[in-house]
Amino acid sequence: MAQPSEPLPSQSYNRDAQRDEAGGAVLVAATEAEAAPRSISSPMRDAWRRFRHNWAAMISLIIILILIVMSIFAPLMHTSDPMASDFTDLNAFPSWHHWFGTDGLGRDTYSRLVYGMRVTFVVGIVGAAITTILGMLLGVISGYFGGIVDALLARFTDLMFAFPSFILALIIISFYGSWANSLGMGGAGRVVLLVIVFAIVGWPGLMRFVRSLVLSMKEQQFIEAARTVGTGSWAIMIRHLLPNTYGLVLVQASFIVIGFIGTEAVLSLLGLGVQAPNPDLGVMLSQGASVLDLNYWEVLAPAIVLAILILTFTFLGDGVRDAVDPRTKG
Amino acid sequence: MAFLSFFIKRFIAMIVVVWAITTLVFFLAHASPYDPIRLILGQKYLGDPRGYRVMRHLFGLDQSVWQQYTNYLGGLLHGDLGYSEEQTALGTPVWDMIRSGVPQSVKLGGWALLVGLLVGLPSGLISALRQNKPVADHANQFVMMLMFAVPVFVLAPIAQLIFGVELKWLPVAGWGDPGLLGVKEMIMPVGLFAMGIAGYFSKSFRSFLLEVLSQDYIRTARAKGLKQRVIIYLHAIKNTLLPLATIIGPTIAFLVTGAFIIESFFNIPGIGSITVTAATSSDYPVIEATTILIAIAVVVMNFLTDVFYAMVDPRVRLE
Amino acid sequence: MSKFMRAALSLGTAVTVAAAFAVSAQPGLTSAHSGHAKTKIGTLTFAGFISPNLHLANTLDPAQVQDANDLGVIALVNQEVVIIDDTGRVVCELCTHWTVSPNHKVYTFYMRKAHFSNGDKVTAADAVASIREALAAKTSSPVAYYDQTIAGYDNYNAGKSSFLGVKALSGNRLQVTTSKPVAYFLKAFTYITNTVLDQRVVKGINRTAKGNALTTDCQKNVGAGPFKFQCQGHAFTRAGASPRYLLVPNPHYFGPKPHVNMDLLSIGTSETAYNEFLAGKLDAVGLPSQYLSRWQGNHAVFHAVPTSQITYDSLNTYTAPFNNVNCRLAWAWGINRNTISTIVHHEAKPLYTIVPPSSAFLGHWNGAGVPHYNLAKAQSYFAKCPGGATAKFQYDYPTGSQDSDNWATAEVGMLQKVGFKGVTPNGQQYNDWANAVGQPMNKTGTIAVQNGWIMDYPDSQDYVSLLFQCHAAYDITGWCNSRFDKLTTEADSSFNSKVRARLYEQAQKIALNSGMPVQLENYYAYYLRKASVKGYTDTFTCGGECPKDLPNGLPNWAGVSP
Repeated sequence: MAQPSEPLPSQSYNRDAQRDEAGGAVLVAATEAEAAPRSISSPMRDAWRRFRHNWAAMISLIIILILIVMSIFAPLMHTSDPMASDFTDLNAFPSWHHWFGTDGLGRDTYSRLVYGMRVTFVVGIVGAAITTILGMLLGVISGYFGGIVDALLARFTDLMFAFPSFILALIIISFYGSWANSLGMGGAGRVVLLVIVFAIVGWPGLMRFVRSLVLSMKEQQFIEAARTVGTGSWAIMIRHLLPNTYGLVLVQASFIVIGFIGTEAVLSLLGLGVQAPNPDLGVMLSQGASVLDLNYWEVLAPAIVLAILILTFTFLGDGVRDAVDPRTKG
Repeated sequence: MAFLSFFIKRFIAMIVVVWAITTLVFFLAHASPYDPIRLILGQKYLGDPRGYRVMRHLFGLDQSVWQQYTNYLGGLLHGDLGYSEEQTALGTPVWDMIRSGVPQSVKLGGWALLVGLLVGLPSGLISALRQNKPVADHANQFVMMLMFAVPVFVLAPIAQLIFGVELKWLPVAGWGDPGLLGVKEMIMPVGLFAMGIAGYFSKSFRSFLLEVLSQDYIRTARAKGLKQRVIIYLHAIKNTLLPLATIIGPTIAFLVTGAFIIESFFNIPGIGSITVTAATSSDYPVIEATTILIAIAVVVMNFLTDVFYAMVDPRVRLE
Repeated sequence: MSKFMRAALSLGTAVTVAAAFAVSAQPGLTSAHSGHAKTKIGTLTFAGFISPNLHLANTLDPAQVQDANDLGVIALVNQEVVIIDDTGRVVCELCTHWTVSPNHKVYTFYMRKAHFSNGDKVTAADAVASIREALAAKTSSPVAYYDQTIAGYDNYNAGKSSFLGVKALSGNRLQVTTSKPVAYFLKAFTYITNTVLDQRVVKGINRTAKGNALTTDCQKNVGAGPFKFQCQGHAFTRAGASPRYLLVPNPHYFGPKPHVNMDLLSIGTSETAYNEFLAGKLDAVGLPSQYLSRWQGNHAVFHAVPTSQITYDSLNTYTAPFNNVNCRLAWAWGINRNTISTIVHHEAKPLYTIVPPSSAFLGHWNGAGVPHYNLAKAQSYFAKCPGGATAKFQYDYPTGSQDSDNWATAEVGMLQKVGFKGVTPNGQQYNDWANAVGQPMNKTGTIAVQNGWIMDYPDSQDYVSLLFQCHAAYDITGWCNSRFDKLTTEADSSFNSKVRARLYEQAQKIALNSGMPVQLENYYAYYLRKASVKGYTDTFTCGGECPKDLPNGLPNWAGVSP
């Protein structure tokens, strides 16, 4: 395994960490994996100070927070019921009454977008959070203990890598989708299923990444010091190793979020995502795309929202990365 | 000797992973709550319960799962992948579907990969060298991420409408026609597919380069003369090619599964759309075959990468 | 076809292409078999199949037909003894005339002088061999059912006996005997199951689900129809190219020979097909419903044809709340079918009877005296519906398009207005939906499901008796009414068409006033056809467009041109 102190660039990346999931969901995640563990001694406070000065990242963070607040407090934000149909006002052009127009059932597109973002955020952020935590824990355990634990986990991760994750997600959702519908939670059952599936397929890339971080950290002085004063394994992992991976893991997480948002849209296209009549960004996109030639505004609104989400999460990820790893700053 | 034992160890590990995936996907597929024969018969099932039993027997679905599993493994060893159990392809040997579909997916994916690399790598390079500049980095990366993340099902009808219907520069869809038409048919699907790949590679390459550029020796080089700087930059780029090789494996799987929307929109008889249809219609033999195929491609790619590393960097073998 | 066309994976629109035949100006293609020297003939290019995995027909074996797309292509290369013409009459195809015995049980068909595309003569023995093969136990044909009135069918189809009431009296005389007098026998006999294949071919079909010469070997797919396949070796389609069937005129066809080739493409999405039509590559295309408003006024290009496809709701009468007739009637009176049609088709095509409104059917009336939309009436029935307000259940429907989602969403909204507060729409993948409509509702626990039916032959029996008699094979609701059964059984064997019509009408009124089924819509096929294409007509019995008929009821292929 490559050591951080080695001078040659050819050895400075972590080859395991770059091998990532294939199916698109977390494709982007691994691309940041080479951000090798060198900044472990930088306190989070310094990172935050640097982050604050990155205007692109700060604006992105603010926009994301605003959108999250909007979707959480959707009932206070919207102008009409996202489910209410007005059969006399189908496919309406944007107006003062309907800011982004109406869809084929006469429902208000703006309201549906605000509610639809809930799904996007839950699937993107909660899904990414769960898979990130899973990947971190397994990575730390694997890296710290090494030996047989590491070998077993590594082989299992090999398996997960080679299993095409998109097919895995498709199989699980198409088999258990109707079960999720029957839970009687309305649209929420599907969202829960999506989150579970994304959590299952997303972690292997991150696990390898964290493992490599831990491998390089555990030989360092502060860990040795902790060990010599008799700190237990779990305490070392939780108190010393995990906190030092947060920054770099956050970078990855932001790209996992983007991947999940895109994958959710594709699953919606296949009818496997959130079910009608519940609003969802992916469904709105695919429905809008089908009337592109007639009512272009029906695809424009969700496409702009998607673009904003992708833009902000990209800059957020870049900002976090620059903040926690100042050496890559140009 | 160390290399040989490393090679053998990795090779055995590869076989074990492929077997494990075969087993996993078999039982995963057979855990389906759906009965493929029932689906084929649809409403006819009510009128024809005997036909239902006949067909289950024909596909060996009336045997126990273990029996089916051993039959399946036995068939695999003889290169028999079984027969499709999906309505529109009922009874087609899976091997025929794979054999006719893979070359088309490879043709689409291969060209898209090439174009994607030609666009993505320079974009990543500029982005890394001009890190945090508004246009060269931020705008550039935003466009690349947009290309990666905007669903192709939104872009495909737009492209068809503009280039096929309005401008009439390119055929709306089609694949494999002889002559110039065949080339023109490829431009839209390959271009759209390459956009996603370019975005992915641009993002990756930017990161790899930034990592290398932050090395001390590069930082030193920046202070020195131009000629030396060029040499060192070239060296840096050469070193980023190695990590790039490692993401080729996952990219293969992405190319196959990610292609299904492109294939549907542009009438390309590849295996992406076959795979997706199979997954949503409980076509066990096809799900199993395509999954194993992709897994083998990824595992072999990883194996070759490992071997390549071991040859370049002897310390890897000791790991 | 008794099954909903398979809902394609949704790519955003309703995929509703009835074997749409489109014509493309690709002159320069030469026919390899045109009698004299090579003649240049045009080609009609159709979006024959909309399929995300680019499959062509499910099967080219008439005994294994699964949907309307299969029927479309099989009918171009094959012939039957009798067919339905564009007015719904039974007319001869491979026969010149037929006689019926006084007891209405023995039919004698006199075969016409005709040849298969390989040059073999068509004989009565070919018809016997084909039908016996189609109905044989080993064939396990999902469409054998339609010949069940032929004498000896049950035992023969079960493999218990070799007797079947179909025999060749001589080279050109075919005799078919039914087990009892059946009023609709000739119409049922037009069903695709009874396609006449070359007996030499029949011997080599080797029908198993894992292979079938008709579908796997182009050279062996030989028929007596106006077209034949242009084979690529033994394959139907060129490897590595977009899948398509190329059909060329059959030089041995007995009728007026076509002067066009047929290019039937498989297209991944309906948007692509529509765009290809706009770009001029396709000669006709099924119109995605969202574009209806754009084309409805364009009579040169736009065609709207009623089909035999109907959509209705099946309610579970095994259990509460819909074991109570008032609950069912509250549902039936509470749905504004006009609104649904407007949302889905931008025009009103509601349906208030079991049989769709068309001249071809016996027993259709205007739907007077049965549930129509009336909210006040619905609510008054609802007041007498125990547990209707508290029952929590799902309205299952096949998802896969914006239209189907919008339809169900709108319908559930109407039901909630009536008072069914606990109903939620449940869009199902094709798999789940097929399961729900494929077995009795007490087995699946389904409470309400959107169901559909496409006719097999234009006769009221195919809807009224087949779907709703007590424990009928395709009835999933568990509804039983002895008077309904008596009326329909009587109608099925009555040879007086006026009496039959009256009996079916009475039976329908009983069913509909029991809220069983809840009729919703009669599906229209919408498509665009280039104005330059000549020789086509739009008829109900084609479910879309087909060549204009000659006076004898046979399609005039010679008149079709790009």
